[in-house]
Amino acid sequence: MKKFKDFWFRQDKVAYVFLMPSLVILFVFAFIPLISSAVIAFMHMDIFFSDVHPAGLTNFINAFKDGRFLNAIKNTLVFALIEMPLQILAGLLIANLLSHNSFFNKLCRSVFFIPVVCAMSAIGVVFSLLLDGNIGMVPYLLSKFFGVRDISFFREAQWAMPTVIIMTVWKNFGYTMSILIVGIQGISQDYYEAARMDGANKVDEFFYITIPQLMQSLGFCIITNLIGSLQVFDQVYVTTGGGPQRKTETLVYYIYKTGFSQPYDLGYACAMSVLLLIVILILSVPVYLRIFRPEER
Amino acid sequence: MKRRITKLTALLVAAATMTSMGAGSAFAESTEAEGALDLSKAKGVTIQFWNSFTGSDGDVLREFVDRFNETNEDGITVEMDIMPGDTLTEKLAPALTAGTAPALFSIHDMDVANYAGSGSVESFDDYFDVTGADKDDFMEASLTGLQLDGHQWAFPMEWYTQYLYYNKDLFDAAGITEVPDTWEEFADTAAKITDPDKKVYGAGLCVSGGVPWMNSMIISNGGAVLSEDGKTGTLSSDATKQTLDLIKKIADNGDTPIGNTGADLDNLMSADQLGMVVNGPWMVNGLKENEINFGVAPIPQGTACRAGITEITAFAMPAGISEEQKAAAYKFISFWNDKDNSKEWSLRNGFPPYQKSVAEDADIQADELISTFSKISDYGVVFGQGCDVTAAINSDVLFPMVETVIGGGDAQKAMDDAQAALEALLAK
Repeated sequence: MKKFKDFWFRQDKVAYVFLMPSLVILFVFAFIPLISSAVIAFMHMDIFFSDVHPAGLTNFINAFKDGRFLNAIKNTLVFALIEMPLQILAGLLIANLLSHNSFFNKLCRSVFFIPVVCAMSAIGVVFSLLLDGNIGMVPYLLSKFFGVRDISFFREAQWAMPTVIIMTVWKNFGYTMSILIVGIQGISQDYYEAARMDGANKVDEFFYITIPQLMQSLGFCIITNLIGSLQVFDQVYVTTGGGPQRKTETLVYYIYKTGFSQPYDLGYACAMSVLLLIVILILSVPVYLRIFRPEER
Repeated sequence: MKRRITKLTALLVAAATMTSMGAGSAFAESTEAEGALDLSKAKGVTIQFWNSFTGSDGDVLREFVDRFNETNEDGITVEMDIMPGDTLTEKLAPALTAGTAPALFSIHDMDVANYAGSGSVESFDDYFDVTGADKDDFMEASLTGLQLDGHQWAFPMEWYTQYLYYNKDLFDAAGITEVPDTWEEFADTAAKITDPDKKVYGAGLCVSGGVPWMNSMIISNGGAVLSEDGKTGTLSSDATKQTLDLIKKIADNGDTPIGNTGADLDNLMSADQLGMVVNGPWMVNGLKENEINFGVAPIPQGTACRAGITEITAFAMPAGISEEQKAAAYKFISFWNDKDNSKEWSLRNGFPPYQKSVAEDADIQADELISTFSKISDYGVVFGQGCDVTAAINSDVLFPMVETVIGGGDAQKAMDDAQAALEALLAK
């Protein structure tokens, strides 16, 4: 016991003791499931664990033959590659406008942050009601004042994905804005004063001072947002259920449906999860390396 | 050190995985009950009951459960958790595997192959012997629809087929005097009722979250989704093409709203904005509450016959349930199947009785709606018995197929894609 205490309470080891609660949680809820799903991906296994046997690479090969999987990959990429830049752009522009600590700006920041703390499921229900083709206020107003036919935003193939993207941007841009506001406030005013003396206008300041100085914060936002977008699930689950015509069926949604409803195919669902992890790594690692180059660390 | 950590990790993962697998096989073994069940063991037992009666029938069910809790002499308590159907499906499977499922839960006949095939549910083979209930009083199809390999894996709670609901006021406004008896007449009637200025649609064809009306339509036109042994997809046929062409005609005319769920159509029907819709008996209470002037008729017939998919909602118990909990569950099911209670359930919710003695009751026979709903014996068709992906065929093949057609897609392509999806699903 004494040896144990002496070892772990040494000054260079005590940090691990403080880290232990987080490490245990990570190990139980992230590491074990991650490894387990990688193992299950190579097995034929349903959720009832009946008739479990090795599958080799069958689940992975089947994924590439499965049109629904490829469609889900396409939808996920479309969502991520449109939603992420839109959210970053909206957050950046509004952060730039609201970076000064006036009362009005603080009020606006609080208002824009409210959707961030709301549950996506609640927001999904609200949007579903507002945009409902039969009873929604938005289609009604569009029809009454602009003569637009009643659009069922979540039910028509050409509108469903854009609507899910816009709803997600609306909900999440406040988070990006908050991070970027902190980043902008951390930029020394000396740069701006020097630029103004050199005749720079607001646009020049934005492009030549604000954005370069914000690269670390922007990089964090891009990486976290990209990973989050590739795992999009709850807004689809609540609003469209993957429809219409599977136009909004994303990969995580398809994984969930495959594993937790008929055919309850856990092995195949895990194989798709592993493939999703690979997609996330392929997209996010180069972004990470590009933004956090050694000279910028 | 590194090697030791790697070994430890591998061991933990293997242990976690194998422990879970072990739990699964233990359930499978425990389905073999030994000895007769003693119902007296139910005294003072509390059981959980999960179900998906989220509609107005859920209020009636609550009353039944409260009444059972107050009146049963054994001090049994049933604690009920009502949740949406999707939630129940997604919550139940892991709960059964993890051994945390409630003593009683509701499933559909189309789930039986999954749960029974995986050894996740307890059989009801001894129910009649233990409770003394009269097996001959139950309509045969209500029991056989819940059997697999000769065992009774679930016990009927209610059953229904599909019916045509129509709005009498909209029929009058369009000058229609006859309720359509064929699908062709259904399409013609829908065209007459539709009034875009008033946002009134002639027909409601749901694309998810509703009864599988398109399956009934295909069968009535002489087609079939599955072969008789349930192992081959037979969707690609002239009958399906004929069905899809008619659906496309209705949609292209603008006589049905696009992309609506079953719940959306319920709302439209309750707002006097929908002329006709195919649905189950549960719709009655909502229409009555909204004072809609409606009628119910048998589902239209096709070129071959009249057919409506029959669905059975049933009680089920988890494999390995304790004798005490099983006895309490049997007591509650006996209460449910008591003639007076079954009659009350039918009269208040409109569900057709599955017990002959209840069906022969004078009050039941005098009720116009239940009389129509009881046509289940005339044209009800069980779909996919023994197939373990029946629910997925509905949600992932048939509904997407009609969704494509209603959304303006080509009928032939939609059918071909659906056939391919069906084959892929059956191959799993």
